[in-house]
Amino acid sequence: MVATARWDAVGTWCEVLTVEDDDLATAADVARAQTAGLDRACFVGSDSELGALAKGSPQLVSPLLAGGVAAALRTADFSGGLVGPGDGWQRVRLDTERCLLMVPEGVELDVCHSARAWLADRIADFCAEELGIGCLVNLGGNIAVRGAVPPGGWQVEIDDAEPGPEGRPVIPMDWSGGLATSSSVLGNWRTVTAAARSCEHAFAASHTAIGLGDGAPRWLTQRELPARLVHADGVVVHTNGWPRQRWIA
Amino acid sequence: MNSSSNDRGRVPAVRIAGVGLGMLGAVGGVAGWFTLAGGADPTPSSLSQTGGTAVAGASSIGHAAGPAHTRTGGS
Repeated sequence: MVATARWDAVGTWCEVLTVEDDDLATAADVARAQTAGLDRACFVGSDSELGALAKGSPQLVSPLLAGGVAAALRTADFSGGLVGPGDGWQRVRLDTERCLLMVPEGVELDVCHSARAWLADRIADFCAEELGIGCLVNLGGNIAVRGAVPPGGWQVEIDDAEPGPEGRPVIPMDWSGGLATSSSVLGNWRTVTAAARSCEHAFAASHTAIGLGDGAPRWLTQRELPARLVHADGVVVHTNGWPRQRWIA
Repeated sequence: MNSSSNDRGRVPAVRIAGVGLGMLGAVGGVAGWFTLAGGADPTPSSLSQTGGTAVAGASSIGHAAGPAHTRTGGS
């Protein structure tokens, strides 16, 4: 049995799926509290904690904002600056242990996208490790899986924006880790979907790859990252270890 | 992109060659970053064409069935 809860938060749709019906309410409560906290931290514009943050000196911030900023900085570093939270991010200073954040004057941080992926990991980790609940957490397509999975794995549809005549691919996600898709209208790749050991890594990989153009398959393969890349011309490239897939209409 | 929908069916040979060479060039890369334990495609890397003739190592059909539980992309 698979149970599902869905609602809107953090600027997108959110889903929590559990293997056991009885676990859904608990896992969904955890996820709703966490997504509401991240909304307050950085998703409600100038009224958010990040929007109202004084700049130029270290400020005490909430653990959720500190975590979201830390994820954005890690993604920027991993991508060589290709996927950054805004101009000047290199001058941002963050003490994650003491939750002290210093944003220089003139720097506007946008950590929303990275923070979503990080929060999906955080929710799934808590449910699996603290509550013993096997679950899938999906925040706007950023997917984290931890603990027990249904027989055959979680069935995840890859939305390629323009499905072919055979329909859309579906993969079984039966590993503890993450899956994320990045899309582009003008770039060489229409979509890049990457699998990784965490949702945060999958997000960073897919967004970096889509910005790399034709060098993306090589970059992903060198890092042994399974990925599905759909070129603007329709060519599909699978990098090392991409799961077997089936098709649905 | 200026290509029409009809152009999508045609895969420029140079493009395929470029991507293929890119994957060949990846041999000897950084090892051990992340590997899926089970259910992975046995082909190291593959290339195919949506809705058309497979170019090389087209994706294979898995064993799972039924509707999707959730989706990624397209948000």
